[in-house]
Amino acid sequence: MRKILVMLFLLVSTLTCFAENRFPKPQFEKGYTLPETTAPGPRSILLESVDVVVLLAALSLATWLVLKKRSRRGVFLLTIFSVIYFGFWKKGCICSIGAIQNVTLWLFDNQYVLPLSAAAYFILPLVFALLFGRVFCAAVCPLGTIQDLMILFPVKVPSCLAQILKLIPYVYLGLGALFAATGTAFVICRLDPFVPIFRLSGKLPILMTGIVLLLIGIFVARPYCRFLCPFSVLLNWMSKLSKWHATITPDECVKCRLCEKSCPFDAIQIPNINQVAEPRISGVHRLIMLLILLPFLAIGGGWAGSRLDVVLARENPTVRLAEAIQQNDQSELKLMVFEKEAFDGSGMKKEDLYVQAHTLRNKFRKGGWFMGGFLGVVFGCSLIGVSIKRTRDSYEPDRGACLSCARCFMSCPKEHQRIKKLNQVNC
Amino acid sequence: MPGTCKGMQTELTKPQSRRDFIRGILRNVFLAVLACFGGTVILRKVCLKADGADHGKACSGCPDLVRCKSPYSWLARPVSTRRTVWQLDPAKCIQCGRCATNCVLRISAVKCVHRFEMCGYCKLCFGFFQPGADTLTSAAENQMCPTGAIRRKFIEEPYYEYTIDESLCIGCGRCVKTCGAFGNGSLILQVRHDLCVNCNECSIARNCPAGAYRRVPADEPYLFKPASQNT
Amino acid sequence: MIVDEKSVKLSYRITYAMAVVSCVFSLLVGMLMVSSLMAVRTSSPLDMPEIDQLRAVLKENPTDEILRNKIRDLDLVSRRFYFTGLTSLRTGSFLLLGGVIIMLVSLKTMASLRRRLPNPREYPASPDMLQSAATARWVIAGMWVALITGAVVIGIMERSGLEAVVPSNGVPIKTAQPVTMPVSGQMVSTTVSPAQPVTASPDAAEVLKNWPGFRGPLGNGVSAFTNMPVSWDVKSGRGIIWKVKVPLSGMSSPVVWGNRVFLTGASETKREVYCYDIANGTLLWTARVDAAPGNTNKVPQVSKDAGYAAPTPVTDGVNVYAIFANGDITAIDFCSKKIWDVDMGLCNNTYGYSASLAIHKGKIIVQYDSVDADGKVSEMIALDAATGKKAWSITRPVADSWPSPIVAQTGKGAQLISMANEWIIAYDPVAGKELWKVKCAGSEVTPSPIYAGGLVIASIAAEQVYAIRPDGQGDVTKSHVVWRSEDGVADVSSPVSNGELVFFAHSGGTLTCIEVASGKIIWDKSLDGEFYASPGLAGDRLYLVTRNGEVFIVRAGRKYEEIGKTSLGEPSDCSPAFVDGRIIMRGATNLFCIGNK
Repeated sequence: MRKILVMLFLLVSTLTCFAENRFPKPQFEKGYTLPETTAPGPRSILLESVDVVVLLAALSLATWLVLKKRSRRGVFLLTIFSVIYFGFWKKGCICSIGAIQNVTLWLFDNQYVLPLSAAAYFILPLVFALLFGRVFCAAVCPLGTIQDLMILFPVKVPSCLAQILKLIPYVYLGLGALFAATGTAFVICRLDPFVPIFRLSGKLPILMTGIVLLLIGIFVARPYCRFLCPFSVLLNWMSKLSKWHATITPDECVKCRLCEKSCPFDAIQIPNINQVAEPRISGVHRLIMLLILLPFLAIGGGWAGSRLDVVLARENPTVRLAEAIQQNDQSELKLMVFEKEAFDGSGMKKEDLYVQAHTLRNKFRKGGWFMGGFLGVVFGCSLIGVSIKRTRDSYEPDRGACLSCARCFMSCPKEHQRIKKLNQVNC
Repeated sequence: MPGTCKGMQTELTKPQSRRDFIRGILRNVFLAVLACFGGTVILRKVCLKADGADHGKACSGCPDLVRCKSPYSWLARPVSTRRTVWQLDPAKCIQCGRCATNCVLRISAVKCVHRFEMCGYCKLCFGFFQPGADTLTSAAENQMCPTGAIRRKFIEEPYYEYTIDESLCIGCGRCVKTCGAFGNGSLILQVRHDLCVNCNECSIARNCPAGAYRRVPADEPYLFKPASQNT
Repeated sequence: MIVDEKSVKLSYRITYAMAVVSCVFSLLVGMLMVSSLMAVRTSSPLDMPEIDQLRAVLKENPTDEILRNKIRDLDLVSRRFYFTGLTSLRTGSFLLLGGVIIMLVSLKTMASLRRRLPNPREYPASPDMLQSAATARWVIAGMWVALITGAVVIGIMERSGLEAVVPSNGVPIKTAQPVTMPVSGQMVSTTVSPAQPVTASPDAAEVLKNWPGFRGPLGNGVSAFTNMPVSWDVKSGRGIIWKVKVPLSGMSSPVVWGNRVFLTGASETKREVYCYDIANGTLLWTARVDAAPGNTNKVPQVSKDAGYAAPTPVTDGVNVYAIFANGDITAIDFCSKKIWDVDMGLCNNTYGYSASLAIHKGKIIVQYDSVDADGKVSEMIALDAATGKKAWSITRPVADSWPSPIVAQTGKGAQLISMANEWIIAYDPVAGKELWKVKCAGSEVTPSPIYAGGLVIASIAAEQVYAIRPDGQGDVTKSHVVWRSEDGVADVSSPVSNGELVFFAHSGGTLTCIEVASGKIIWDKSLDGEFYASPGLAGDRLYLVTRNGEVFIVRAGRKYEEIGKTSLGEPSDCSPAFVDGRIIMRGATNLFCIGNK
């Protein structure tokens, strides 16, 4: 008896299993083979690790070309390779610039799983910059190299304007890190102007920005790299400390001025040993004033940044939804209909959502303090930076701004001498 | 060449300036930081496996890491060599139609996918026909799909097979909505990985009202399974 | 040189022409692309109001063939327009790319052909550094002021509506993590046993969602969830979320908190606490429990049926507390760190110490009953959960026993109810004072008491079932025993009740249903199996595990009805744990998680 019961039960349970479908699958009289649901896999699972290897190889090659071979031609060829491989073939993601956000999110969110490739993309260029200067910018970064190919008639950006523009990357980095740390969005990826070009499709405004930047880049060399790129901030710092940075001349500088105009990025510092110096006392005085000002700049910046919490938090979908639901309740508005529908379906309570939104806002307030403080310090430091006069008796690349593109090498007569000697030895 | 020799000599014998000294120290500090970061990342991956080999020493794979108060918990932050790709969870999807318009690709990488094993082979397919279509033919006025991407093939009375022409499908999810509401729900939206470029931040995921997008392991890139099989 | 110059001029001209041609070409392609973009935008198939209108008209006049054809034509035209637009966009972008590349190449060549040697004499004199530094300072300062002002103005403008948007009244701002009820399984309110009020402690809901100790959140084997699976198959793996081998054996049952499943296992010399991930059965950590300070490493005498790890651990969501047959009790945090350990001394116990721990308001309660010899007496001991220090202890006039104590929320407040040979005793779990006791017979008392329907129900093996009103004082054997029943006495496994009916599973295979209020026997049924594991109740489903690992699922109702019968495929004496759609069961060698994937 029990066995029959069990069998009955099993039958019923299997039936209920099928009965979940409103329309049971028919029993076809003729032979009908059930087509398979296709599931094309991602284009290449291996690609990610291959990419890291290629990145490492390209960085090493760039280093060798810039520091050892001193060959602009080699750098140029590597540039073309990078545009094709990291740009058009790899279609942009993931790139070192975007990897900043992955790393930031990883540092702030215990549950975010950092892809090893993102870590490599973040860390390798920095290590290379710390040792050899910005060789990553010279010939590996797809965003930089595509602009590098557009440099045709470079003009000098007026130094006042350049001073302002140079500070934009810090603001961009601060905002990007804030949005990433709060788990809100990866804005740097979203606003990446060249990815749509590599993919030959994308959001129209971003695509247009990319095209405009490239067109500007004909005259203002690599505008994104110099005046926007958030990763350039980190690379700039690392490169300033670099151990083996590229030099204009392979030998002693003879101050022939031939290289003065060879850098399209205005990164060559001219000797200032003959300049009229300011009285020492007034310089020291100003420096002390600026040093006193620094903490005030930081606090002021932090305060202003924390004021932006509501505005910035609005970028977060949870906060946006909470605000929309609140406004829907208060008036007859119907905002974010689909989000509301999904929220109602999730069974979550409104109060919980408000609490979440509030917590996020608090995070933004705290983050705003840090971001503003950071910007205050950056502005203060750049004020100090322009006020400190360092004596230079030769033509040197500005280690932070120099992209190690090897353009200036051939303008140095000493370089010609070196090559001639090399050829003689070879003969 | 006397000039070169002299230059090299000065290079070698030049005393290290104070600036270079500070620079060197800072450089080593940064190198150490980066090495720590890289080391942590690699160590976490290589040494600590989630199979319990780390007998109570590390918290790898700990599901409550977020609430962990230990100062060392950051060491356990997850790192993965496993490639992940974007996918949308059909159980959460509300078919708002944004997949069609928000992808960075010109035609969305999200397509309607037909799970044949769930299909009822209905003559009146709710995903195929406009509601209230008077004749059950594939004429334009009867079709639900705005691009005519669903193909209807007669098998035997009264069963029809429906297949998706993915070159035409734009991922609007209209058929998915009606099939789910009135039919078996055998039509679902899925990111097709032969098309998806796997952006770092998925443009559709950002705009998905239901939060249905998430990253899934690349070796199991589809979420075909129905929400609940049997209770 | 002259020839050279000529050829240079020629190639310059050629590249110039190429640059012009490719520039014009790119511009043309770009313009065409803009127009096809417009086409794509205007003919988006997602937004075709004309067709929708016509469809609506057609519904009114279904015989209008002209209208039908009109719709078809319009549909075809718009789709063709859209898809050709897309194709031409794609082709256009490739052409544009090609054009731009050619233009770039020719422009670069032109530039290199025109390259002249730099002439420093033409360069302007280097600018005045002091002047430019001063300007730079002003510029930076100006930008800073502009940024700050901008931020503050925007911030203040947007801030005005803040308080209206997120109300601070009535919203618990402090709780960052919103407590959401499990979405997938319906929580049954605690009316499962109407007489059992929810504990007053703030995280009562949290406790109910978990399975924190032996026989669940209330110590009565009842789960707050109803969405438990009723069929699975170990062989094929159907309905088995995961199955893992447990390193050391034990009779203790699994407990669950959040994502973690805890389990103990021991051998003569080794004692271990395991933590598994409930999602996939990954062994998250193993904590070796070494001898507590003072332990002489004496091996306790245990029977095969009790083993060295019979007591089930208990958790409060912070630590997990485990006791082993050798009398070592330890607290381990959720990351495997030992918080404290205490040696209670070897227990003089005929079969081996088996009472599971109970927990109440930060106190771990140990029923340490032993044979009165070597100066050892039976005690009820409460240890402070945070430190392991003794909070209170009280001696008991009983011999060694095997039931576990429970903390019941009675109408008179929380009571710690224990049973042993000759006495069923209730204590105040906070102060450690005896409240009431009932004299009973029996020699080897094994099933634990339960509190159901306002009564304490205790099954004394080989004697009878007692149902006691828990509101007395002192010896209430005469006054407060509501009913006794000689039918249905369970001998090893503990009873389970839904508040109305109470079920007893005898080791001989008899399942008896008795009405809680009256003590009347409703039905009994002989099942094919021996019951050692205590049954569990989820919704109206009773889960009974036999010693062979067969699982009977029976409706908890006034009529016997078998819902299902399945198997673990291996012997089991452990009680199952129930959490949101999952049953965690321990077999002789494996730990199972059963449920829907």
